[in-house]
Amino acid sequence: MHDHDQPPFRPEPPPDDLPAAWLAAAAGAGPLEAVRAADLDLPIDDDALRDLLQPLPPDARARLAERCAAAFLADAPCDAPPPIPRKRRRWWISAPLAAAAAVVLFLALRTADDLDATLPGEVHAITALRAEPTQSTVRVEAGKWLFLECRAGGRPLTVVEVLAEPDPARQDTPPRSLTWRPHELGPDGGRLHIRAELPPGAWSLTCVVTEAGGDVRVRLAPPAAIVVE
Amino acid sequence: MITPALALLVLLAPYADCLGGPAERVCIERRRAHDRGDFPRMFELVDREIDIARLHRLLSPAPTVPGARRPLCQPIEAAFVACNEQLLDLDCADRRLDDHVALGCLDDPTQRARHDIMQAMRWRRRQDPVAAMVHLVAAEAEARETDDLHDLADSLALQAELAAHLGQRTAVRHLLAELDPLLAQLDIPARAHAVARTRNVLAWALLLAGESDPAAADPRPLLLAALPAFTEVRPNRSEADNVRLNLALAELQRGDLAAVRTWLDAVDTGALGDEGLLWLRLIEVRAALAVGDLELAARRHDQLAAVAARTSDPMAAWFVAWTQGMQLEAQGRPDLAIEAYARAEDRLESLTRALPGPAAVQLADRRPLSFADGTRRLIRAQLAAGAVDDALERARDARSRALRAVAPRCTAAGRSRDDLPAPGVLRLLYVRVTPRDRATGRAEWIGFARTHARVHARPLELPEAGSIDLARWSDALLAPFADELADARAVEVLATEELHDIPFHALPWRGGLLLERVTVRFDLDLGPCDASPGRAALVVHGDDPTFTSEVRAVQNALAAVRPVTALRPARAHELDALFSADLALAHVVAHGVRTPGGELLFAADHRLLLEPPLTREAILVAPHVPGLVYLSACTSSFVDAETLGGGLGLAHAFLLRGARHVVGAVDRIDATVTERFAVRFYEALAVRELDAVPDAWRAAYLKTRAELHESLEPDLRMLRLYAR
Repeated sequence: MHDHDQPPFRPEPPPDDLPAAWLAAAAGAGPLEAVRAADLDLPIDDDALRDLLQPLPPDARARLAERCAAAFLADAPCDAPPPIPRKRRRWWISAPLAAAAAVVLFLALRTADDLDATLPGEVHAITALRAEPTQSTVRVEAGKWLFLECRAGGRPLTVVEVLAEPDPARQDTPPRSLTWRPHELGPDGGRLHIRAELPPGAWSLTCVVTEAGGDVRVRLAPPAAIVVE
Repeated sequence: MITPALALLVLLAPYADCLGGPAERVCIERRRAHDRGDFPRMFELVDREIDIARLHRLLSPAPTVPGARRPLCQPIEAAFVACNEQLLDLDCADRRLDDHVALGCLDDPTQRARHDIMQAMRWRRRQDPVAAMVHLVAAEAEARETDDLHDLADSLALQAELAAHLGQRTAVRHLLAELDPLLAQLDIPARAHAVARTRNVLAWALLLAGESDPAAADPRPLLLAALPAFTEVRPNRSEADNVRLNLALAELQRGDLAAVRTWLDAVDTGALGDEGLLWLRLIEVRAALAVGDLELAARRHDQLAAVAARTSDPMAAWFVAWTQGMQLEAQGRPDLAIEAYARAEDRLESLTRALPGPAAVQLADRRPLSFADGTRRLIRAQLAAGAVDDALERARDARSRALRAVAPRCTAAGRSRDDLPAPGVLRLLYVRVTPRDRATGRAEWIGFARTHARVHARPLELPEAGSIDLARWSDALLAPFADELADARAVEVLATEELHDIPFHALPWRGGLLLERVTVRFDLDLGPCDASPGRAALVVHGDDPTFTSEVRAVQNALAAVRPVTALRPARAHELDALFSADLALAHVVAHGVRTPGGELLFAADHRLLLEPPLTREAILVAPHVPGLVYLSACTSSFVDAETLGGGLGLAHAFLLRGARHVVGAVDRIDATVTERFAVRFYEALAVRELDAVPDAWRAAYLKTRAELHESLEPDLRMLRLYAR
């Protein structure tokens, strides 16, 4: 499962600026998945900007999720422009606002289970320590490593990202992307060795996957719960 | 500096208060006989109480309800305690314990905890803390079941005493924290006497802990709270003097010699038994030496020697030699002091080797550290006299003493390995030579560097314990021996106490790691033993899907050189394959866990989760063990930082049984790290064969380090190469 012939994994430094894919998607000029493919976790310090980053209305979220899920299962790209609320379109007039709106999408996609396109599968967190075997919820020290096993209905898939979402009670904590090089999952799934670079607390982890050769990104559900100590 | 036999000074509560009923007047009379030390009369009355209780039961055959047997069982317990704790008549104690069972006390749920507490006292008296602990854990559970806070307190207090004997400071602290509110809750006038006795037990535990741990809690408040119960509530000279002696020791530990004198003056010396007298003289000698009154110290020492000759206490001779050494040192006669300390060492050696079988593993683990003061004084005195080699040999013997006691058949002549390092090999031994300072916890350490040609000893300036700055440890432990290191190609590390935790191989040195300059092995310092003569390799693994990857990878790496099979034992006898004479090498993949129930007292009590679990006890009695064992599991080479020799983890057990090399993890380790290292290790070993394990280990370490993500380097550092 864990391939020793691959070069050692080292995290890449985050880019200094917002990725172009965000700006393009926010402007309706690119697929939504491109937003999620851009691995970035930016803190939002600016009050005015945070004010702009309201979640999408629930009906828009639901429609977006449905369409992307259907597209994924039909092996078709989910590249239609997102159903952005009309009142927010005016923010895209200038580049800074476009960037802000991109973050709206990014966060909205990541924070609401009913928003995201999901694929039924199995996600298990397992301790990477040779101590007590995993009993229920895995507890891991911040900065230490754990295994995440992902599997989806015997389909060969590629994991393109590991997504960590905080406990719903901690709404002020943003979701995180645990960056990972693409990892092929066989019909029996696969095991990733990932680093819990997360603040302490309860988190849900899942694999974001694409089908071989495809670019539609969906996440496996239900996610696995861990506690970072 | 304190022996379990002296625990007799602490008397546990034999359910102190008389119950109402037909035997109440006999009970009161029996108590009086006990308090004035008239034991024959006491036993006579105990028997009468038992007869009355039995008759009463016959006449009123009501169904047994909880507590109904108390009038029958309580006098039996009182008699047991008198036999076991005061008269030291162990046969008498056993008879009373048999009575407790034969007369049906175990049919009464309120008496089951009492029975287990008595059993624990019995095993404690026989110096078997493991058996004692089993009963105390059972007593604790029963007391919680019946909601009997007094039984609970008694059980916890005795656990604290055992923990203190074994140097388990953390356990003592936890038990104290639990007992404090419990005793306050129990402290009502009707229970004052019983609670005072429990407080005295707990205070004794703190005194024991205080002998080697300056940070141990102050026992004086407990003792001062207990004393009035024995002087006013229910006067008992013997118990009151017992508390006074404990107070004197507490003041001695704190250096208040005037207070020591005050408490000792209040003791009725003429009424003390030999054990009490031994303890009194010991405190007096130490107090006289502390004020520099050598003439008084000599007189008290003569009295100590006289009483020691009369007692059956196995440690008495050690106390005599130890204090004689201190006395001779104070008189400015170092040569004679060295002889006296050497006698104390020899006594300790013979006592350690005579430890009873099943208890030896646990006792040898930590207890000898309590008697290391004589060793430290001897080493200091020998160094002052310029006898560096002699000091080094004494330090080596003290360091390996507990280990040798556990595996006598594999230790030549009962001593450390009898050789000089080969040319190019540097042997480094580090040992603490003074007590820890009460305020700062700091102490003086000495480092020895032994090469084929010469020996050096140098004082060390250690960082504070627990420092994670490896550069500081390198400055403290390696820099003093820079010249010796420059000429070395291999280093044998003989660490003691907290230095067991230091990853010497990974210390920074000359712009890289020490391991880049030399091979490093953590040494048990024992001569060769009979490892299996075979050539085959076996990969043993537990039942966890995450192990599959490592098992396959290791099999592939090993298959290039030797026949290899994999085994997932599912029945008890299948693990026997690990101890086959055919094996040269075994790789074990499992989860490493603490032994349930043993966490409190036995720091090194780990096992590997196989079927059945792999324990150090099983390893120590194995018919054969492979020459090289790799334990790919958390804490598989756990070292106990509060022992001289490192304690008895699984890795040490393999070495003691005869393995030449063991690779294990001293703490928790990431699975991918140990897997990656194992593959690199066996790849390196394929071209070097088993004679060059340290070289292969070094090559694997450096290669794995270069390949892993830097956040995993602390996990890699947990791996150690142990050798005997």
